[in-house]
Amino acid sequence: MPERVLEIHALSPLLFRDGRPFSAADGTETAARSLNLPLPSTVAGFVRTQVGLAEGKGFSQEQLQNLHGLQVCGPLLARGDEVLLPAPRDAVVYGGADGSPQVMKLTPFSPPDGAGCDLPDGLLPLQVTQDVKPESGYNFWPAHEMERWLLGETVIPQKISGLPTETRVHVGMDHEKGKAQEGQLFSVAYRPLEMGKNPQTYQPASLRVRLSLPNGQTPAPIGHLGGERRPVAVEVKPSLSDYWFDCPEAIKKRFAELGKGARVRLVLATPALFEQGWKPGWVEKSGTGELHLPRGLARVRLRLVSAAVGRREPVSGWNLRQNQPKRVRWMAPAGSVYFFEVEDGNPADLLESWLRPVSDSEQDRKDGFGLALWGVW
Amino acid sequence: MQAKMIFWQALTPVHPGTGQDSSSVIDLPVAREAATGFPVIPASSLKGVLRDGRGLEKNDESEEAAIARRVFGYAGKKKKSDSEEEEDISQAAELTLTDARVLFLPVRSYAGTFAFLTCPLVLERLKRDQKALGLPELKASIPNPGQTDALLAQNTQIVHGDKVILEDIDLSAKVGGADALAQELGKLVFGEEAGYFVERFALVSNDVFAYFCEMGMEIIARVRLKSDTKTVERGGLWYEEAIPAETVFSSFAIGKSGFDEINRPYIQIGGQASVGRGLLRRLGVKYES
Repeated sequence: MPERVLEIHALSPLLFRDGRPFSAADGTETAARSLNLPLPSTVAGFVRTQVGLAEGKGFSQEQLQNLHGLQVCGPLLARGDEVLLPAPRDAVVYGGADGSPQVMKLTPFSPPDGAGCDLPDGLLPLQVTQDVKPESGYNFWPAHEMERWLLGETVIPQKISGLPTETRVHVGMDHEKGKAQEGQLFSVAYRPLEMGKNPQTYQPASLRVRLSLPNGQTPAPIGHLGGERRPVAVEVKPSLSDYWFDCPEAIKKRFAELGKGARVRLVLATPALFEQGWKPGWVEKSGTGELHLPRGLARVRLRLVSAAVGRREPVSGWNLRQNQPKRVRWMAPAGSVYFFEVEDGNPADLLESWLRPVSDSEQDRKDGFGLALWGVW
Repeated sequence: MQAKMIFWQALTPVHPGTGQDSSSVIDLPVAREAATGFPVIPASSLKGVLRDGRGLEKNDESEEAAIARRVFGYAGKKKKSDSEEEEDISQAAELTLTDARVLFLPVRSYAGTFAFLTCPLVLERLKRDQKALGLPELKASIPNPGQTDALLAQNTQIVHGDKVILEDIDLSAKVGGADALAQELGKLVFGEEAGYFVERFALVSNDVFAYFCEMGMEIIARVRLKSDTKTVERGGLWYEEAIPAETVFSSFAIGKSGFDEINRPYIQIGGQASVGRGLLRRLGVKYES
């Protein structure tokens, strides 16, 4: 089936609510905040809406089931023509003695005899070689720097903090009296899809999504994404490889040399939903040939050695069909790193899931939770 | 869904305030974009002004209120006329507006009274948005002026000697350097009044434009007097920032219908309405529904 890359281009600053309460009641916050990037489910819902609108068949039950089954991979943040990926959590950027940034690489560490730790059975801690305070603002890495990091090289990344925040204060006007209404003063933090602080550092940004369109549909070109029905434009890119971050040849070559006992690493490009919270449920099932595993993992048996997982993030939302809130689930954040050892199978098969979702549930994978980047350690 | 392009020109200085304290000497700064620092009129302000409070009273059953709810949206419930039951009459807005961004900024000029400044970044963003929305793009090429250059139309009024002197910046005048662009923009935005615009058009570098977006705003000092002694009250001196008169903004309206709602000859937007701030006139063609 044909796969396409969609580029989402904002016409106004966008609002990606983080789910915190936002009401006029006393004592609660009267500020809405934005996530750094929209959730995969937000973008998947947007893409399916655009495809459904373009087809013009309405949204019947059968149509909804078809749309719900569309595979959406994303979103990735692009700055100009360059794909940016969330910073891996096994890289700690700190200021060196001369003030320039340095990187500490966290790797699994076997404690000597007589020492131990309270991690779950079989898991190793990560070794911290420098007692330093991490620098802030290194939230995204360019794709070419991530490639080198995945190959095990030491990388000093560019400082890219992500989309700026634009805070606006809103008032509701009393039409008769011409003054602000009581309790209708609130602020909202938006995310313009642009980067920089002035025209010298200005760069346009966009969101990119890869999706399968089994019947050759084309999404509607204009739509609304995120809170407050903010307008965005959608462009279907003709060439898949030019606009997506395909698996680099260097990584393919490196994985072709690996065999049993190889040590591989998984970095999440979007947040992932696992049955056990931070831990992928497919670890025990990998290599068994069981059905419904993420692509490429049915033939390679992996053992989880260690993990660098950021603070968990909630995802919930509103179920439009049943008209009720969704239950809150907890995501492993983007940038989380899992260290594996290959026990059986050909490690090169893992690359079949390059930038494809590896969440546990089939529908979460279709929504784009947990895009995978593979490397070595 | 279709999109329409709207141009607004300030007839008096516009103060779209930020609603929060400023860290600088300006007490009431104007809203600016995060990524560029250019002044902006938020889309929510535009929407509120165009709606003008219509359709917000839930018991209003008039045709005008129904149209306003359909075009601008509504959230609320209403009792049914035949029972005590409440029904939800919420609906999403049919019309979507984007922020009004600065397109041409007037800056005082030694010759010709003032110049309409723009820069490649502003025009490239406009062109990008036009393309994304399926509107016809600017045809003329956008030259890239040097840091000390001002590209002008052939028929220009703002040259003194071989220089364009703006406030405290002297730029080398390149007469005719952007004539095709000036003519196209003049026709697109001003129509029959294009001459008044073309004579003052100047394409400057992104940095010069950013400098005037920062330093070229009107700063208005105001005082509040004690009524009996006619002296200034304690704490009664404050500074307001405003986008100067003659500035041109561009924005877009997106939707299936409801475009006739933007056919107003003028609107008042932003703060300080009672001292005349914020009159904008609508430029460009009228739209059917």
